[in-house]
Amino acid sequence: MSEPLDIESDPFLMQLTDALRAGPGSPEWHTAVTKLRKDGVQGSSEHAMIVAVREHLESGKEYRTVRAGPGFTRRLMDRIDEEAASKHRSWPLATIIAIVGGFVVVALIAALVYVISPNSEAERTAELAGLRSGAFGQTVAQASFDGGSLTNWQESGGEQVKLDTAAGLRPATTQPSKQYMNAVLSTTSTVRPNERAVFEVLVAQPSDPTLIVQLFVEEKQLDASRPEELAWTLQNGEAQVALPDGRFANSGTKFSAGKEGSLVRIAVGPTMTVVTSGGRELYAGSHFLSATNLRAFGIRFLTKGGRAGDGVVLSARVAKP
Amino acid sequence: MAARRTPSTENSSVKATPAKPKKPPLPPVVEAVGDLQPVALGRASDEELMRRTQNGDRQAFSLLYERYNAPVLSYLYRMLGNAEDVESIGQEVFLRAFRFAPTYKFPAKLSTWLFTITRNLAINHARRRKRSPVRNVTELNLEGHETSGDPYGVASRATDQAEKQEEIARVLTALDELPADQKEVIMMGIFQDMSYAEMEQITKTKAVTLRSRMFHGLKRLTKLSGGGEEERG
Repeated sequence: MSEPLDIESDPFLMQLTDALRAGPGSPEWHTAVTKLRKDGVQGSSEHAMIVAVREHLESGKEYRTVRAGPGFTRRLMDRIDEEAASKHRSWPLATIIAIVGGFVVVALIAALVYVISPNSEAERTAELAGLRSGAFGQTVAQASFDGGSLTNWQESGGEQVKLDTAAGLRPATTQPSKQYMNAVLSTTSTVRPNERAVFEVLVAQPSDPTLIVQLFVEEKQLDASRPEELAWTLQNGEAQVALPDGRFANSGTKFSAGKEGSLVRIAVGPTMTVVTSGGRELYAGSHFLSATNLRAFGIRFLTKGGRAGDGVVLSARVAKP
Repeated sequence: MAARRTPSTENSSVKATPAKPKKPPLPPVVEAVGDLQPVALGRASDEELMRRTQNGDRQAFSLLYERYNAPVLSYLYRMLGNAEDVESIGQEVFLRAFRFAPTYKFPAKLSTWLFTITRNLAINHARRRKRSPVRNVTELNLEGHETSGDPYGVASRATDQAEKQEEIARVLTALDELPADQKEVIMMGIFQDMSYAEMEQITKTKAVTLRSRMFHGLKRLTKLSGGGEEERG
C-alpha cells in the first residue's frame, strides 16, 4: 500500500499531480517540469522518473483503443429496439398482476352483489320489457259476457249482489244500500308465481257514479294468512293502481271509455308488473306479490245497489306466453 | 473528454446560398426539444442529446452512442484487458444508458453519468470474475483491438527510436500489474483525459486521494517497467 501524500499542504505536489494528469504539452506540465528542472525539489530524481513514465504513457495513448464495429452496433441497436418495443407492448409483471388482481376483486364483489340482490336492475328491466311487449298466446281463462256460460270463472263475494253476465258484466240490480256491497268474478285457473301472465279487460264507462270497479291479481294463499292483491281500481271516473303494500300509484288519472269500452291490461311477471288503462301506463314496477303463492285474476264490483246500468266489463281474458 | 463527433451532421449544418456569397450564420441550438431539426441535432451538446433521448428521440441516442462508443469501450478494454469481456459489458453499458435515460438529471455532465455506469459494470464484472466464452478473435465486433492491444506495436508506431520503443512497451505492459485503484486513476485521468473533479464524482473518492493514487501509480510504474531497478543499480 502506498503511503499517503501530503498534497494539500505541499503546493508543488499539487502542481505535479495536476501536470501528471494533464500530460506533456499542457500548461500544468510546462509549469511543473520547469520548476522541477530549474529549482530542484526534494526527491527530484524520483519525480523525474515519474515524469518520464508519464511521457511514455503519453506516447502510448493509443494502447488498447477500440471502437465499436458494425456487428457491435447492429447487435446493440437490435437490443434497444427490442427494449423499446417491449416497453410499449407490455407493462411490468407486477403492474399486470396488480391490475388483474384488481379486476378479480371487482368481479367478485359484483358477482356477490348480483347473487345477494333479489333482482338485479338488468333483470328488472328485462322483465318489464317482456311484460310490455311480450306475446301472450296461451289463454288461461276468457269471457265475453254475452249471456253464454263461463268456464274457468267463478262467482264469489257477498250474498247481497249477484252478477249479471247477459250484456256485459255488471252487478245485478238490488235495493239501495248505504254500505258498499261487493260482487266478485275470479278465475278458477291459476298461474304459477314464476310465470308471466296478462289480464286484459275491456271496461266501459259505468253509468253509476258510485260504482267501484276493481280488476285484481290475488294470491291463492295456501295457508290462512292474509291474501295479497294487486288491483286496478276505477272510482268516480278515475283510475289508480293499488299495491299489496297499501300504496297507490297514479291516483286521480282520468279514465274515459264510453260504451265501447277501453282496454285495461295488467301484466305480471315473477316480480314485476305493468298496468295500463286507456292506452296509458299507470304503473310499472315491483308488484310485491309472493314469490311462492299461485295467482288468480278477478273482477270486483263495489256497489251501493239501486241503479240499473249497462254492462261495465265487456270482456276479460287471462293468458300466458 | 474527447468525444467523437459525427462529421456528416456537422458539415450539413452549414449550407451555402448561391445568391449570397457569405455563409449564413449557423442555426442556433434550439432549446425546445420538439423543435430541433436534424441539422442542429449533430451540434447539440451531449447533455442536450440525452435530454432528447429522455423524450424518446432515438436519433439523439444514436449520436451519443457514436460519440461515446470508443471512449467507453477503450476504457473497458484497458481496465479488463480482455476484448471479449469488453464486447459483452460494452453492450450492457449502452443498453443501460438507454434503459435508465430517465434517471439522468439535466444538465449534469453526461460523460460523468455514462462512465459511472461503465465503471460500476466493470467492477461488478471483475468481482464476479465471469469470463465470456473464448471465441476466435476475428469474430469480435470491435475495431482496433488487433493493433492497439499489442504494447510493442503501439510503441513502434509512437517513435522510431528503438530504446524508447522498448521503454514505452514496458510501461504499457506494466499497467496490468498495478493495483486496481491506481490503474483506474491512470486510465481515467491520462487515457480518458478526465479531470480530478470528474473522477471524484465517478469514483466517489476524494480528489486528494485520487491525486495520491496517480502519483503512486506512476511511481510504481517506474519500478515495474525497470526504472526503479536502474535507479537502485
